[in-house]
Amino acid sequence: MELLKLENVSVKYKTREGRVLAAEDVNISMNERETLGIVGESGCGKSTLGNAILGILPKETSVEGKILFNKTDLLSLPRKKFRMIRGKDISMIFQDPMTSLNPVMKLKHHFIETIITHKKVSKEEAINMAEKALTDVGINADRLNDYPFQLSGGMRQRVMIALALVLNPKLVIADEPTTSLDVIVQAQILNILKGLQNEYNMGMILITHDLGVVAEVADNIGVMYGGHLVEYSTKMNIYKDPKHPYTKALLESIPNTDINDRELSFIEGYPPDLMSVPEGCRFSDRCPKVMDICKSSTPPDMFIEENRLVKCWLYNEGGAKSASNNRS
Amino acid sequence: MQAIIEAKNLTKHFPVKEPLLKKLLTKERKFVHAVNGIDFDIMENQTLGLVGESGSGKTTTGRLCLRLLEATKGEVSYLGKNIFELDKESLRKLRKEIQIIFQDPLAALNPYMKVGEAIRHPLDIHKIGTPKQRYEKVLEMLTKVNMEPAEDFYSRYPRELSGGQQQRIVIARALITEPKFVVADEAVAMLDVSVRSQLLELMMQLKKEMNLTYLFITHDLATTKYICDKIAVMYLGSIVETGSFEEIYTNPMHPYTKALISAVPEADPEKQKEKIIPGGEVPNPIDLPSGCPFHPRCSEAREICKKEFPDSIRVSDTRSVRCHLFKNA
Amino acid sequence: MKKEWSPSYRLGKALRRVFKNKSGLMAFIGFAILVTYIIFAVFSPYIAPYDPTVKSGPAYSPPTKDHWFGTTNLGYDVLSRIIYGARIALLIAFLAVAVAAAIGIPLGLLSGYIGGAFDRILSMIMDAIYSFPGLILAIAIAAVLGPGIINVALSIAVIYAPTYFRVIRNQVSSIKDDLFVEAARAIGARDRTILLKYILPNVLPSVIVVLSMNLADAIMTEAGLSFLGLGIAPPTPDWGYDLSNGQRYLLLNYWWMIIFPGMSIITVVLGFSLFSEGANEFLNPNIGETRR
Repeated sequence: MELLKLENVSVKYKTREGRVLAAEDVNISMNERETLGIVGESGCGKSTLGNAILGILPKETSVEGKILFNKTDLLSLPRKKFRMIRGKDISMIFQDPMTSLNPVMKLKHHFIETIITHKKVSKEEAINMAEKALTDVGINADRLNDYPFQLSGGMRQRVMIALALVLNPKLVIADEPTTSLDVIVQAQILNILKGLQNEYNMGMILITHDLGVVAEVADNIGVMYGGHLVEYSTKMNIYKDPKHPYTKALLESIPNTDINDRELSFIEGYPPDLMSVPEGCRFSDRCPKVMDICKSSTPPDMFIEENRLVKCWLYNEGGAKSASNNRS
Repeated sequence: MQAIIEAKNLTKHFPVKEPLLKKLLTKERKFVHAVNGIDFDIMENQTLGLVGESGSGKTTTGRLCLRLLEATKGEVSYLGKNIFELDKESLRKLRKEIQIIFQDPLAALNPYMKVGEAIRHPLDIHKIGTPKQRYEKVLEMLTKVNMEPAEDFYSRYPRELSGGQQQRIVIARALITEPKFVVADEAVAMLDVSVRSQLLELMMQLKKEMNLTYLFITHDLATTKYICDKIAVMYLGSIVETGSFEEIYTNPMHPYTKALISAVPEADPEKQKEKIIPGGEVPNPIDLPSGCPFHPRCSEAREICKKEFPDSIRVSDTRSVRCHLFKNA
Repeated sequence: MKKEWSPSYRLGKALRRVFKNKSGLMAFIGFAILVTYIIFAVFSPYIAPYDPTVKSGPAYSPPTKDHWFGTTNLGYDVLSRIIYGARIALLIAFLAVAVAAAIGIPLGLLSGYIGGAFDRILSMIMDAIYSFPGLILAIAIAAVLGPGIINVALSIAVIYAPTYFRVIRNQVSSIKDDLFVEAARAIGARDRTILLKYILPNVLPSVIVVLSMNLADAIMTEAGLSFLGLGIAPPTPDWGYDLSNGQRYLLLNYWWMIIFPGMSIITVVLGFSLFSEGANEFLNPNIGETRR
């Protein structure tokens, strides 16, 4: 069943230097219990998208479009209702666990606060829930009396996961959950996330720049570039048969572990500045297959197969239907 | 072939900062055992990849090779001369031959210095060429690192550039005095994936053009294959295994190397492998485990591993490993 | 010529940047006040309607057409005394702050950079001076040195030197561990070069902020010293002296003798404060930085 659907979501905000178009006309959906990987380089709008779903963008930001969570549009909900959904049904795991935990609060109180805000339970019950969640992520329950600084980086990230899962959310958004960790600890955390997703029956959005991480965990993958969702499909399709030139180039440029392939390939140029995005397709100035039309107008979302979206003029012919006629 | 850099029994222990009162009351001083007696050499025109997780001592090792830190014990020889015996002025002069590229390019550049000035400064310091020649040289260097048009970038400030461009500036500054030996400390770790490969390619190209020798420090094993001739794996201040990329990657011997390789996420859904992930995290380097530092996390640890840390065992001409499992082999 | 290169376009852009945020506006107002006083100080003989130390009308005259700000008990023109008074006030303030900075900045640089015992001893001495109440220390020194422009400036300088020292020292001791300083060492820069080319430019913005704040303070202290009779010998025009002179006639309702010198002190101090506050954000490239 469909858990989350974004329809034409655009996010804009103002800074001192000018207007930033962080995401534009993003259409994507995911089912229950699915893991959706959102991949992109820094400044492509992937974190903004996650924050928009959670409704934690700064005040000056404007979000347009529809974010349907279990068929209700989160953007049209009154703020109070949205807040009740956030934290309980949708929760978040951040990149930097040290700054997301209050340094002068014991772990216990982090849990109690989260639980009691959303659920009418006694303190004892809340602690019981916290103990279970901590054990699930592989931390001894008597650590509840510790302060965040007494934990190592990997343990802190486990605590963040436990905090995100303690209320049994339907959707967890994990924003670069392993980026600040070492490889071995990263592998441990990914194992925990995979294991708990089955146990807790939740959907997960994994936002990361690391194509290795999504390859291991995700079911479907959306690739973002310059604020656009440029390609979306199943994991196998993305890795084995990428359609968008950016996806292709990105996959070729990451170091693989095949020792016979020691040829480096890379994309010339730099990702666009979201403050002054190029006209037309955002990738046009770096694209090896650029055509005239790419520089003048933005390609529409094209579904070239069932559940397979490419935002690229290369696929305009051959009966591909554009997104606007395809939406029902 | 000549060894450019040779490290022997290189050791660095940092005293732990403690409150004055505690210092007076307890006799025993605590140390962070960052690097514990490592040996390696780097041949001319070669690249040694130093791989390890955070806290392995790899960054400290890089700093020691340039004597940006004083060693507690041991030596580093540059072209046969121990750099820790040099006086201040000769060391300062030597700096134009040994250079470093830092991980965080923005932090490594003075925010109040224009790009051109920053690259020119090493020439000013070592009094190389006339002002006109220096200016030309900077433009040439900017072109070499693909920052074109060079004149435009000359008068920009670092914060106006993207991360990839900033790192190109840091590389240009490091190479303008035509050094022989360059330490690259996680030089591409902070950059975007698509830019990372550009920079690696650039470093390779410059290596060829300028006859460079690199010490390539990284936590990411996968990037080493493009650039490294040899790899040394570090854990808690000790080198536990050395070998060529192929050897390390296809046939890791030390249990830690095995774990490290299997933990690297494979960016190919068809090639997902069975993982051997050790539990726990790298212990703190203040109180080192007895014996082999990896034994508390090692799945193959034996009784002897808790008591004794074996010397490096030479397996072949290019290969050595520091583990009891290979003692009789 | 491209539009972006024309001077008027660039000026417009710069002005828009100044007025776009509050701090820019604040700095601009402060700057305008200061410029007014500086013009007063430099061109006082041309601006002032009368000689400030010569009787130019009836004594105790309230503001009239001839004497906009009234006259003093000796018949001096108050407006002229205020215009000339800006000279003394600004001269002493700038002199005092320059001396304080000249002592505090180099010592702070060295202390922060060298560290160790040298740093600890110097910091202790500076902290000892700093912990004295400023005005009382200035009074004591001024009493020993006697009145006079140089002496007043010196006694004020002594109480501000530790401020520079502390600001600079603390910043240097954190900046010297920054990566770009290590990078400078790695390219073979001498200590002197590192201090002057890498560290100093990075601490200077905060010095400028402290500087303009101290100027405001120094004007107050100078006025205070003159008020107590430890400053400049009369009849040299001086706001602090005029203030203390005027307050003797307050009971007689000769308000103009005290309001105008008082307002002068307040506005010039306000000018410096606004300027320093606003300048802080302008000079620091990292504040408000949203992009990397």
